[in-house]
Amino acid sequence: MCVAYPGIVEKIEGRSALVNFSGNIVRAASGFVAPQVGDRVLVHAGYIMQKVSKSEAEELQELFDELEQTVADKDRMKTNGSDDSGRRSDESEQERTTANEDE
Amino acid sequence: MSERISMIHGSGGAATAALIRDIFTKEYGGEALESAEDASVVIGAPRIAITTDSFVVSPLFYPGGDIGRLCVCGTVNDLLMRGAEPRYITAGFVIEEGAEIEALRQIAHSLAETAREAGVEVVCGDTKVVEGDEGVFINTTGVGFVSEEVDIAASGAKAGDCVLVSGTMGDHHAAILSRRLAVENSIESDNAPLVETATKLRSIRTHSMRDVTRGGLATVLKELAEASGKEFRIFEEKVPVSDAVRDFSGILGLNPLYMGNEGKMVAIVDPADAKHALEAMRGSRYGENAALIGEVREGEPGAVVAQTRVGGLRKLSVLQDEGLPRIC
Amino acid sequence: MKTNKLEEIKYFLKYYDGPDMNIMEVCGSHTRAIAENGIPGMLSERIHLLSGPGCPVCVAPSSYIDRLIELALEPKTVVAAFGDLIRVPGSERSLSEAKGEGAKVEMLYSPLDMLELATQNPDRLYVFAAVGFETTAPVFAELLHRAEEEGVENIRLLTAIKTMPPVIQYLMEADAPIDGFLAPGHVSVITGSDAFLPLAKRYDIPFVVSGFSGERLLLALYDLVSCRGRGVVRNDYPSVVSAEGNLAAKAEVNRYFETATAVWRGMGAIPNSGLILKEKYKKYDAGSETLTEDKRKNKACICHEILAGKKKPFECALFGKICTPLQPQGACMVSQEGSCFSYYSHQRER
Repeated sequence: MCVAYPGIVEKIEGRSALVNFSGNIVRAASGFVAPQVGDRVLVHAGYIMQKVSKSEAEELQELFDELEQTVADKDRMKTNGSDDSGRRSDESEQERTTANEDE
Repeated sequence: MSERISMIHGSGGAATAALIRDIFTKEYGGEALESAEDASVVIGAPRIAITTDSFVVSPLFYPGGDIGRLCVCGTVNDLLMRGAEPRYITAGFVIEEGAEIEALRQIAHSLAETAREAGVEVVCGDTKVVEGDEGVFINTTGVGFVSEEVDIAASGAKAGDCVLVSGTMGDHHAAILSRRLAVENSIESDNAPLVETATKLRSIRTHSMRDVTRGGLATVLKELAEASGKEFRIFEEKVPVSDAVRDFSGILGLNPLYMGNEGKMVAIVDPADAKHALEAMRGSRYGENAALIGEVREGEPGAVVAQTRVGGLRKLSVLQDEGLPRIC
Repeated sequence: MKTNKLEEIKYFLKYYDGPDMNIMEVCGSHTRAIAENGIPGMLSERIHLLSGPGCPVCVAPSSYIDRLIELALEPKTVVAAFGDLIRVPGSERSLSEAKGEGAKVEMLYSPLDMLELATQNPDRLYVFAAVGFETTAPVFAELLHRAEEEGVENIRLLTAIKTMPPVIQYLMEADAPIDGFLAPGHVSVITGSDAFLPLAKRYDIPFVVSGFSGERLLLALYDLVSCRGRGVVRNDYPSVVSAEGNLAAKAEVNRYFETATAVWRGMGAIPNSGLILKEKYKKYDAGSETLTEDKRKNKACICHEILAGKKKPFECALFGKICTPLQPQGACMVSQEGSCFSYYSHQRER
C-alpha cells in the first residue's frame, strides 16, 4: 500500500494543504514538508511525503542521459575485459546526493 | 401528501393510488399508464428483445445523475447492444419507509426525461413499500424490436475485426466513489442512453456490441473474447481516460480498466467499416471521445492481451475482487 | 534521444546472457507495477524476478485480523482501515465477512479522516488498523499529533507497522538466493536511500531505488544487472528520494513510536522490524503487542515461502484451484499488491 501520487499545492491551511490532482482536490497534512502554493508534491494516504523536484519527463531524460555513460563504460569493459564502471557509478551517486542536498 | 413514505403508501388503497397518480403517472405521462389497467397492451413485432435489470445504486443522487436516469440508461443500453430498437420500459419501485416523497418525485422526473430522450415509453409500473431506511430500489423490464437481418451477439467477433470504445473509461465508478470517500472533484457519471451511436452502428457491419458497466472495460473485453473464442489484442495507450479519472485512480491505487461506466460501449466492427464506425461514434451524442483501441485475432481463444506503453504484453482477466459495491 | 535509449535498455534486458541474476522487489506496489507494465515477458531467461514481503497487508499475522474483528464487534467500537485489509482472512474469516455479523468497519483513504468521525461521534471508540511500512508511519504519527492537540480521546491504533531493512537482512541471512534488490521507491522517500547502504555493503549486492512507471522500472532493472556483484545503492528516483530521506517525518515517527520485534505472517518474529507506540503514548494503543499468533487458514498455504522469494505463486498446490481472489486461502492472494493476486490476475507464467 505504498500508493503515492503527485499533485499541485493550491492552498495552505495551517498544518494541511489542498492539493490538486487534475481537478481532484485532496486535503493533505503538510507538516513534514512545508510546501508553497504551486509546488508539485507527492501525497500518500492523506499526507505530503515530499516535494517533487522535477517533472517525470525531465527526470527520465536525466536518468537516461546518465545511463549513456554507463552503457559506454560497459562497452569499454567488454573490450578491455576490466571493470572500471565502479568509479563512474560512485561518482554519479555523489552527483545525485549533492543535487538533493538543497531540499 | 405527507413528506415521507410510510407503510400506508404500500397498502394498495387510497394512499397508494394518490402516490401513483401524483408522482408516477404525472411524470411519466403516456396513454398506456393513463388508462390505469392491470396490464398494458401495445403494438409488437416479429422479433423482440427483452431484458430485465434491478437498480440498487447508493447514493440515489450522484454527480451527473440519479437512480431514475440510471435505470432507463441501463435497460435501454442492454437492448441496444443486441441490435434492438428500444420501445418500452416498465418500472417497479420498492421503497423503504422514510424515503422522501420529493426525492421520489425527482427520481420519477429523471426517469421520464431519460425515457423521452431514449425514445421509449414507460408502459407499466408497480409500487411497494417495505420497512427500512429510506432506500429506493427499481426493477425494470425493457422491450425492443429487432429487425430480421440484424444478428449482433457477444460471440460475433471475427479475426481481423477492429475493437472500438465510445469514450472515456471509469467515469461512473469514479463519480460514485468520489461521493463516498468525499474526494472533491467535478467527475460526473456518464450515465446515458446510447441510442444514436448504436443505431448508426446497426447499419454497418458491426459484429458485437457490449456496454461497459460493472467490472469495467477489461471485464467486458474478456467476456467478448471468451464468447467468440478469439484473442483480443488491445493497445493500452489508446484507451481513452480523462485526466481527472486517471488522477483519481492514481490517488487511490485503482485501475481505470476495471472501473465501470454507465454510458459507454465497446463495438467489434469489420475492418472495412472501422473508419466509418469511428466517425459515426464521434459524431454521436456521448461519443465524442470514441477511439480505436485494438483488434481481434485468431490466437489463444478467450485471451485479452494488452500491449503496455513500454511495449510489454500482459493478459487481462475479469475483475477479481469486490470492486465497488452498489454502483448500479 | 530518450526513445532510443529505452529501446537499447529493452534490447539489453531481453538478450542478456550474462550470469543468472535474481532480483527481488520488496514493495507490493512494485510487484503490481511490474505486472501491469508487462515487464516479466520483456526479460531474458537469465533475469529472474522474485516478489518479496513488501505488502504490509500480506504480512500482518492472522491474530491481528482476528483482533480487529473482535474490536469491530464490540458494541461501541468502529474499526477503520485501508481498503485492502478488509478482505484479508484471519485464522477463519475477514473483516468483510464479519460485517454480516454486525462488525462495524469503515473504509478510509487516510487515517486522518478518522479524526473527524471520532469528533462527530464522541460516544464511539474508533480504532485504526495501522498497517504499513515506513511510508505510512508518518501519517499515523500525524494522527496522534492532531488528536493530542485537539484533545480527541476516543481514537486508538492497532499497530502492525513494519520496517524494510531488517526483513531484507533476515532474508539474506536465511540465504535467500538474491543478487540484487529493487529498493522500495516510496519507503525510500522517508528513510532515504542510505538506509540500504549497510545491507548493500554487507552482502555485496546492488540496491536500486526506483519509481513505478514502466520506463523507470526498465531503467532500474538495467541498472541492477549492470551492477551485479557490487555492493552499491543507486538512487534512480532523485526527484523525491534523497540520501537521508525526510528528516521531519522521521523525527515525528520517533516521537511516538519505537522499534520492537514484529511478527511477519508466515515468517515468524524478526527483531527490530516493527514499530510500536512508546510507553508515554500507550493510551492510544488498542492492544497491539499481544498479537503474535499466526495461524494458517489452510495448512497447505505456502505464502511464507513465496514472500521469501523461495517459491513462485504457481508452485503452490492451491494456486488458482482452491486459492483464487474470490476465495483466498492466504494474504498473498487477497491484497492487490500480493504476489499471488498479481500472478493470478495477469496469468503470469514467470
